[in-house]
Amino acid sequence: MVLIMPASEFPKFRPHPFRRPGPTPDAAESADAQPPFAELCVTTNYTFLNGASHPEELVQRAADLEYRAVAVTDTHSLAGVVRAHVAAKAAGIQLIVGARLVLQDMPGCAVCVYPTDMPSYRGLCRLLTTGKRRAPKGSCVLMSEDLAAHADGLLAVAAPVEPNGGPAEHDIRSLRGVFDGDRLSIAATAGYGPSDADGIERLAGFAARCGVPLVATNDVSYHDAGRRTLHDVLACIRHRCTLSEAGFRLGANAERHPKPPAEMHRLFAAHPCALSRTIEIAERTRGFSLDQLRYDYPDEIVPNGRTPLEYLADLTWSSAAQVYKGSIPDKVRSQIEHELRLIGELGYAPYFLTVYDLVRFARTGGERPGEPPRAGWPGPILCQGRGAAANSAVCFCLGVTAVDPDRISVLFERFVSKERNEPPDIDIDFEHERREEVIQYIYRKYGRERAALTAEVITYRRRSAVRDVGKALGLSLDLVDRLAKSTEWFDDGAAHPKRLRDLGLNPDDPTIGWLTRLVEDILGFPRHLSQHVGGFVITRSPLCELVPVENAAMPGRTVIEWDKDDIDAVGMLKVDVLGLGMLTALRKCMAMVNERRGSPLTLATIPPEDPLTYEMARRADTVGVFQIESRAQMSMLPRLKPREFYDLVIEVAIVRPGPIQGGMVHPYLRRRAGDEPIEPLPASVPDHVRRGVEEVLGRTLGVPLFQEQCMALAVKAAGFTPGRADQLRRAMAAWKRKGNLIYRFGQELIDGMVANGLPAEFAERCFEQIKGFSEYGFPESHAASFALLVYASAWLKRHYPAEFCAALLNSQPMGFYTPAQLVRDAAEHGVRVLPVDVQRSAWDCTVDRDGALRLGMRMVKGLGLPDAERIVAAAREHGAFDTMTALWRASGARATALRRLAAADAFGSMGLSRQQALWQSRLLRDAPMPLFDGIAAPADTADLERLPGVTPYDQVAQDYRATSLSLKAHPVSFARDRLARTGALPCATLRDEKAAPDGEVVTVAGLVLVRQRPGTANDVTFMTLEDETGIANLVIWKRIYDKFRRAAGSSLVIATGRVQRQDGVVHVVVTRMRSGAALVGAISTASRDFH
Amino acid sequence: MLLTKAVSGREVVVRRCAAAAKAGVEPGMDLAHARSLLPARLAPAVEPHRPECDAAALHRLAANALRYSPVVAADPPDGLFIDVTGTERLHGSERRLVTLVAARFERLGFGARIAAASTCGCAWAVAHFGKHALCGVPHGCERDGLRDLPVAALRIDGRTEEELREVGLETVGHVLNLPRASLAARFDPSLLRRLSQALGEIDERQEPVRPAPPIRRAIVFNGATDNWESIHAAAEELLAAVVKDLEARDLGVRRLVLSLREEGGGAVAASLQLSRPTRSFKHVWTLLRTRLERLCVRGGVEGVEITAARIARIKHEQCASSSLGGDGRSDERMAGELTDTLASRLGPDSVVCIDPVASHLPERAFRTRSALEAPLRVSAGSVPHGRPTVLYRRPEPARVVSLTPDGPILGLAWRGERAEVVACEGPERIEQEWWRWDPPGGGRPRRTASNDRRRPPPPARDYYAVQTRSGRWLWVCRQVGGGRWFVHGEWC
Repeated sequence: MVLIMPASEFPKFRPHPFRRPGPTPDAAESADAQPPFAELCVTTNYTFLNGASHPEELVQRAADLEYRAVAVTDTHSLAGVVRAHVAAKAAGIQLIVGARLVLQDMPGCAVCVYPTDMPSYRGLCRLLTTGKRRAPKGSCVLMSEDLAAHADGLLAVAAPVEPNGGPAEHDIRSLRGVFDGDRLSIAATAGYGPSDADGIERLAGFAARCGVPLVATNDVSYHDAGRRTLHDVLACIRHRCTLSEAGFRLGANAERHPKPPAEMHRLFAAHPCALSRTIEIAERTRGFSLDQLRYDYPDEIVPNGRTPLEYLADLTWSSAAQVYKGSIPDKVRSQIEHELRLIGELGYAPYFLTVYDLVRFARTGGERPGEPPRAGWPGPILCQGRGAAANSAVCFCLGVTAVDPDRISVLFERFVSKERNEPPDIDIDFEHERREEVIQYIYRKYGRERAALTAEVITYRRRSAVRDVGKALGLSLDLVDRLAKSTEWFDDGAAHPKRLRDLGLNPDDPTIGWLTRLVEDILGFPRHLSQHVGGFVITRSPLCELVPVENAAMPGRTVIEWDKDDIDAVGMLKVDVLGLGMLTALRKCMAMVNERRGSPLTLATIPPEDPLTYEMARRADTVGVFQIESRAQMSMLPRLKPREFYDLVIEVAIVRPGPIQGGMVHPYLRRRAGDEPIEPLPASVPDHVRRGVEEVLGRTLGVPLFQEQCMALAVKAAGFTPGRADQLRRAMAAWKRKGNLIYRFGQELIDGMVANGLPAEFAERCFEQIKGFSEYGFPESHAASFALLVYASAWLKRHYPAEFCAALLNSQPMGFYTPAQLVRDAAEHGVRVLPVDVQRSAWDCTVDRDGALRLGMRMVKGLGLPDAERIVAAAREHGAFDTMTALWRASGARATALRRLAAADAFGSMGLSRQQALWQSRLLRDAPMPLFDGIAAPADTADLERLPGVTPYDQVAQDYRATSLSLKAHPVSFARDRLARTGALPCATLRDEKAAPDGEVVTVAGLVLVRQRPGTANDVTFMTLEDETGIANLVIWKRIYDKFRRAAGSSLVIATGRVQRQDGVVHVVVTRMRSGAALVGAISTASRDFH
Repeated sequence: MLLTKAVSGREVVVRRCAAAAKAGVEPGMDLAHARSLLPARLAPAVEPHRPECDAAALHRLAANALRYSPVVAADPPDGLFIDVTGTERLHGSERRLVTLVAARFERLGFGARIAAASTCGCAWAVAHFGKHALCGVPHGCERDGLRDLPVAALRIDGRTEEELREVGLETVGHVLNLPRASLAARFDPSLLRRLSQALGEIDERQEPVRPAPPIRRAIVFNGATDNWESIHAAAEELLAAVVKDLEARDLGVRRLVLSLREEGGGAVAASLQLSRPTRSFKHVWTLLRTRLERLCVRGGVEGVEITAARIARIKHEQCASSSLGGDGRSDERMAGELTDTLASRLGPDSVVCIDPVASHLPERAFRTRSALEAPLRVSAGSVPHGRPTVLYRRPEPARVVSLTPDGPILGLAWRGERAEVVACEGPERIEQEWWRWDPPGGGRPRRTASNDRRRPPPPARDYYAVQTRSGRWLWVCRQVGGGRWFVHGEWC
């Protein structure tokens, strides 16, 4: 039955779009190609906590639907456009760069703007920068006059906040004043709202009256209708509410995904112009693409009249002549020539010069040559390039890196490769306390306009995802905490029913089902932009015309919107200015040593290959030494037995998750010990391949330990090009994040090796090992850079233990050990350690003329530098003080500062015990007091006698409270009698092979120094105990750890287990644990826990 | 059992039961940490800590202890001071009194530590830190009683305690040993005050609790009566007195009980529930009178009693005075009185309020509740526009004629009638609230025996507003992808 519909006078009625003339869906489908359409309003997940799809997903979907073009219009941001650009190029679709602006004085209407050429793109970047720089981090404040000022060449689409809504009329009229009708459009959305047809009709009427064309869009927020759930959850996270509270803050339906063009044509059949307008806009924006971004290196680093390459070559050769004292080895000479050629071809000379400039600044410590040093000038800033840059002889000659290309094999392609066509990436470590000087130098030299930090995109990890999604789903805070803390319930993207039940949850609960599903979806979603630790971008033209710049959380810092991958993709220069604590410690240590020796010692003049230093390393006597001080490194040292520099390079690289998971450690150790022969390659292998493989793996006894070796192996044995090998390396690094790319490479690698006659088993093992590097692998050059510092710090520790310890204490926080452990270690090496004293200590720890280490006031908790300086100055000028009051008056330090010093027992030189000093210090008041008060209250000796006595135990407890260490006694020594009754042996017993032979069951007790559960050994916790005699290394299996969880978490652990001896390394494999925290009572010690 | 409070996004244990304390849970711990300490079989009941409830309970305990002495003071969070001066005799001796009190508190379910001393400070110190749970300090021996207790026993603040311990003064004895002047120069003045209070050198007063008598008025007739007028008059008089009592204490009544004592010992009672606290005689009497009339009394009535069974503070509100042109009444009060009147006429279950709920789903967009439970809120709430005025209890199936799946509706067959459609608007697409359903299958989470039967969210609905030839506007819907149509509501 068909009823004829009569005309109606009801205003509510509007004919459905379908009734209007236009192409029917059938007609559209019958045509082979999709009708033309371009989507102009797309919100990606770079509008943080709003868009529910990655730019790549959206672009891919648009390409699949055969859109003519797709825009990315994130709110006040271009953060996602580079990703979208890369994806669009791969998918072969036109990307329209754009941004959505919400103007403060235009509340009813957002504006999407699209640059049409390079100048208008610059304008857009400037506009966004303006808005961001005047707002706090992460937000943007723009007015319509700002838009008007930068509107040249931009196309605009006005998007009413209420879809198809009317209240935006006023705003659209004012936009009409900024953009002429030709550049402005009004967005109409058919989102299955309550009265779409009506609304669009009204909008069309209004648009016609203003003379502004209508444009069809779907206001896309996700690439697939299934992401609506995530879109809702993100809205909840943004509004800090749960789904059931969110109400109308969520969308009513799941229609905001890209729809097939035919469907869009059906929905907008009544307004064909709105559809053709999308194509028109897309065509007009063709004038701009991110490919046009031309990056310019800064030019002030080159003297006038020279080309950068000439200047770089001159510098390199002259420095090389200096470094090698006139006779440059042939290997190095040809390497430099090769590198300069490649640098010239790729035009990277200005980059090297920029980095050289920074290093030169550090070397001169901010002093201009020729001028006398300022008072209190702390000297040059130690710095050293790390990472791949150490693969370059040019960098070595310029002093950027310290690894002599003569000493290790250099693979320049790891650093700069023609195929990659990406600018090289140089990371330079500076002293961590003085990195800021370098950063300020960069800002000074290039200005804020041209230098900024790169961004780091903080993305959702499992823990944060569970936390935020759980809250949005309405789980209680406590439950969310529990779920987030233990990730055991969740593995491989599926919840584990039994473990969920253990957590007291019903695995069939829909909420838990959604949780697992949504957590999987949200993983990897960007959450906010943060600043990269030290990646600087420097340009010749203003930076804010290349990319929007925003304020960082830290005052005085500015950050660009793109992260380092984006920067790579658009080919911008980046220098990583990093801080390294050990450099600070080394500089301080060498300064003290120089003062004592009188002869200058620098990193370069430390005597090389000192047998005593290696002997110390072999004993694993390396507390405080750079890198090799960790428990894992220490237990490796006696097995690896380093004898020369290259052994240290291997030592640094081998105790890494990469080699450990790749199963390379044991084969290497066995071969090194001569227990296992280096397997010969089968005879079928052609000679050139054999030579290649032997050349690559020979130095490491046939086991690949470094990233470069994997790359070189791929080249030599599997026929990869160097560029392809570099892609393999990148796939390795991204394996966990990006999925299965590495398997494609893996097959290629194995096939290539087999084709070259290598056995399949060998090839597969190589691939397994390479896969291990995805976790964490070191390039050889990087390991070598670190090994230099390892050697330097070990040498100083061996020959100047007091200075070394003082320097470490003065550079805290750094390293693995607490000050208490460093001090104890120094004392064990025969250093006399003197306590903090108010009249004898400086702020820093110092070494006396006779080699004793005097702790500095910096060890006293809660004491500030200004007060300490006043006291030190007063003591220097006045000499000895008789009373605290006199010192207080003379120095002008605050009473609380003296009280802190009293608590630290620092008045020994005045003959006051801690208790007496504290009693006296309580008389001092910071508040202004009557004139003669205080003077009239002299030290009341009668009082002092009436104070109760303090036990040695309390003395130690108070030492720990005030300075975190005690020179009086070890806390465990007070419990020794009681421990002996329980049968616990002193830790030192373990050293004695007769008293504790392999396999013997022993009980040891001690303070927990370190708890460590390395990612590679999921089932084991390593714990180090310390008592007054020494340390004990525990190995605790997960089962035992869980069983004795409470005991394991206490500050003093009594552990029983079996002794395991191997190559001089002693472990106790724990079977039982007890907490002995009650034995040390009030002494609160800190352990360092690494999970 | 753990009581927790949220501190900057973390849940922190405030109180814990004995079992948890034994496992090492301490106040101030993170809840997650506390849980990790508890053995697996001890799944704790976790509830938010409500200090106001603690205070109220302590107050009740204090009122309960009034049996021992007229002067009892609460000492938050968990102590009571009972001034037993002169009352020992009533209970035999001080010693016996102490055991009596302890026994009573044990019966109430509390473990108590009790100390009797001649000063508040000394009693407090010994009760909190003494060796024994029950203890007496004879007059004049305060010094000896306090000597070995830690300095915290002096009721000093945490900072002063810390400062004392820093210089090695651990016990009260150490402090007593030192000259007062030296102490005064070095520590907070509260130290000396507390010391003097504990030793009885200066006087200390506590704020005693005053029990609030219940609001109850009764009349006993001179012999039983069945004269309805006099009962009526008595009730009216009593109510007036109750209202006066309420005024005196600035309270309102929420539940009022009127009971008639019958000849022979029985009683009949009428209870009146009010939607908001009130003390308007006129309003309550109007409601109460009808109740009184409905009471069925068998014999003569010996007496009348009115009790304000539930009382609450009346919210202060501003009313436009009649002299300024207002009527002296507030909207809320009028709404409350209307609710009470309707409820007493129609029965309490018959009066409901409708609250808007922020939800796109029409059937979830409102919620009803009893008007007596919470006062009527006069607020419009947010309701999406374009919704019908009447929503049917359940969607009624209909048959619909349209040309294309997504196209306009041309005709409608519903409730046995065919109707021609003259206007149609839509579709408006409304999705389900997906989180109330299982996630659609696909293997995750891992299947268990019982979750094979999943309930994925039903499909979205497309709603159309249609007008029939007879002029009715109906709200018609269909599940997306399915063929069945329903009429879900109507504008009228």
